[in-house]
Amino acid sequence: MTELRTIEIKQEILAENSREADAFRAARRAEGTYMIDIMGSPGAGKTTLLLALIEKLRSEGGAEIGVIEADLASDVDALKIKEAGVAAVELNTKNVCHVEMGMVEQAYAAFAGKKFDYVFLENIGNLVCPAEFDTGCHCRIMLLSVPEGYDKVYKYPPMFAVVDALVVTKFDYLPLNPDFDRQALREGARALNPKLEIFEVSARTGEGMAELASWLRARRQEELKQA
Amino acid sequence: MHEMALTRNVVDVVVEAAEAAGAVEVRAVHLTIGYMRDIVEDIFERCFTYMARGTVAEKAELVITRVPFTVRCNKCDHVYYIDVNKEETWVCPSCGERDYKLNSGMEFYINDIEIVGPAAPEVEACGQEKADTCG
Repeated sequence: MTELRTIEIKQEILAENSREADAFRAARRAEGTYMIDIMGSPGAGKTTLLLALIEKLRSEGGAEIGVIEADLASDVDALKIKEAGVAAVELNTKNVCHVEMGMVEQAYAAFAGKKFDYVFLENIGNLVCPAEFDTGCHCRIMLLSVPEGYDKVYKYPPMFAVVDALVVTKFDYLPLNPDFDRQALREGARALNPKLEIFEVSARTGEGMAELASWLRARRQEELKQA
Repeated sequence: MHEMALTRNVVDVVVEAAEAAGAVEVRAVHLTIGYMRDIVEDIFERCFTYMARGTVAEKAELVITRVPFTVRCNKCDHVYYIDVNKEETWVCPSCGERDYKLNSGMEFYINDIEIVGPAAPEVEACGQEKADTCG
């Protein structure tokens, strides 16, 4: 005897990834490690910003820093980071468009127990897919460069809605892109995400970098207090 | 592009639940997906069909309910739709405040599945069809 019936499931589609992410976050916090997910389009300046930010965090007060460099293929960015004397592991997604927890855990294990104050995950260069997947970080930051244009918030809204901070990079290019409407970007981004922090920086000139670094330091302190 | 990874999770959950219930076929899978999720329904359905081939769910129809992006006013509790492309929608139509938190739009879950399978267990706890497994 068979029959047609309905079975209730009521389950988040990404439940397993979220569970793993929560456990990973808690484990890192217990070790005093603050994890930051850096997202943005290819060419937004993720690696360049990271190098400048690391220098800032190290020079003021000193900090042990590690980087997980996610890339579709190649180790170009991981090498750049290593050349700067920073512990880096490469996370090659083999052409998958985003990073998931299983990949993060595997990459993190390559640090072989080394302890850090901050670990940055440089996500895949992509303004869409990475937003959907919790990567077990304490803080998510997205980059949008001045040359890309302010209207990305209206064309790719989801990532703006899930991050803690928006970092407008290549701010020194502003005179070359007079159409970049800072106010419209600010308004649109805060409409999607009222608590969003916004920084305008240039890794090249150093503008805004101190503010970003001190914001991260404060966020880390706040997170560790909860441990 | 990431639809494939997401449908893999859906297929895993659906197949596990269907097999636990002794289903011979899954007819439908009901999903709720918020509009703030970057999901293209056509691609999602095609990926599901691909990932489910060879399983009890290979013929299942995906029934997707989309949920709009709404916010809740922090001042008067009114719930309203906002559209990032329409500035006039960012203000509470009830009290005029622009201070709100996300109310819906990020949903992403499986509600239930329709299966063809053995009648509910209490009717026939150990029927003939199950003779092998009941020893």
